[in-house]
Amino acid sequence: MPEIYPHKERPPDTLIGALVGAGVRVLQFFNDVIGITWVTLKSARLLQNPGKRRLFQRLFKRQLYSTGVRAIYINVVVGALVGVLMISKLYDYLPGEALATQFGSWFLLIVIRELGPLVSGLILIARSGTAVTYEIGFLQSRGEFRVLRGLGVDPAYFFLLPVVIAFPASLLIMFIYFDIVVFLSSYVMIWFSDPSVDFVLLSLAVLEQIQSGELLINVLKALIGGLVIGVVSIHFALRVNKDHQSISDAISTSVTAQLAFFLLLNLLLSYLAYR
Amino acid sequence: MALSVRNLRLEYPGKLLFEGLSLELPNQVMCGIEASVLGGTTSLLKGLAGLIEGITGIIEVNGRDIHSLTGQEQAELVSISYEEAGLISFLTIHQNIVLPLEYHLGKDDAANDARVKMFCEMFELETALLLCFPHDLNDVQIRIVNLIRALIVNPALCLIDELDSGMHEEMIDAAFRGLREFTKNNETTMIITTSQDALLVQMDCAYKIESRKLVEFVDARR
Repeated sequence: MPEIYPHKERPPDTLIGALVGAGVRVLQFFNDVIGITWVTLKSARLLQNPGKRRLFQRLFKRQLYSTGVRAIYINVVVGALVGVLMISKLYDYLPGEALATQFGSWFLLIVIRELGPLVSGLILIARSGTAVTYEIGFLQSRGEFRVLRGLGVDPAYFFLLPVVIAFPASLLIMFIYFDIVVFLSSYVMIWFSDPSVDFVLLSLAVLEQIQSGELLINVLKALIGGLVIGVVSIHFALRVNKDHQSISDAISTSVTAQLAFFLLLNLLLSYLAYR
Repeated sequence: MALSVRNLRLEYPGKLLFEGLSLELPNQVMCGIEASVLGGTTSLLKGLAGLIEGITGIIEVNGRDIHSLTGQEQAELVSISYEEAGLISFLTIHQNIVLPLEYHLGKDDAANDARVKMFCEMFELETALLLCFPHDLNDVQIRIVNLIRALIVNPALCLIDELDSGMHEEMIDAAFRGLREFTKNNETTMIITTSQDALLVQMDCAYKIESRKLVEFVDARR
């Protein structure tokens, strides 16, 4: 049978080919991510050795400091702005007294359940996801994984495990900073309009709303979210080669993927928990 | 035998580097291999260290097959000193040097520090550099740090890639004095690649690469 269309001009084949190609890439991505997670978590068995554990503690502290502790500045700024804006907007709709009495449930609904995890996750992606993609990509491009193998050192234990553990821990710490700062800035806004509002009573109003289920969902969002952000950063970093362009490609693709997965995860967990 | 290599074959896509290569070295020997540009000596050292996949033949260090070793056994038996890079970028020079000691031997800080100090004196490395990062050092200093890290665990076999490259004569003398001193007190066998004939003739034995094999190096000046 004669060839009616030249190869490039057969839309159905091209479309099918493109879909199949995209499907294969998605499968490969998930396969790689699961593989990285497994290899990294498996290397945690080396923590049983006191010498190796000491080395890990140093690397973990370094990662936790740069990911969780140094994020305090931006978290405080964003948290304070959210507190001020949220309460000032709420004031437009609710009279002062009603706001004070309903503050606990509003705070739980808006800040603890949704904004805290979302904003903290976005800060983690912007500050640390990009940094880790660059750092591990740089190590990869310089052949430093091979150097570690030459020393008989497990690169997953040395380079990846600190990230995989520090990211969820950092995200959890960031949730806490954020919630506290939003609460404090909200209280200041309320106090300006109504100085009789009692700080302790307002705090209790929030604490009364927090059930163990809320805490569990927040911890899950931090653990799974942090793990996903960390592993996706690592995945794209490991694809870096000696071409310097590949590092910037890895960072931009990695951030896009982290945002997509993190938002999806937040949505899913919130839907499952609060539907 | 500290090192026994039989029928080694190493091929990169489109380029056969070594075929039927054999080498036997006893303990406490300093063996030189003549290095030339793109001659394959770096690949040979990496192959002997078990860092290249697809290499065939038998490589035994102290009677142990290099490919069947655990990470710790590998670190205790074979180490490699790179000609360039080879250090971990975000660790200080001190942390780079003690990395194999901390990871494999779990020694305390005081013991590690004493050992690092001894090696710094042996190879005349300024101790002020220990707090620097790899990017603060020049190529020659990085090579010396690589060497110290390779020797610090007293390996059975130490593979040293073009240590003398870019060094002036005094530094080469100091480095080789340090290597002789180390060999005197330890069981380590060393393979050192160099492009300088004057250094090759000072070794206990010397080879060059010819027809994808190692053949004895003969000093042309004699």
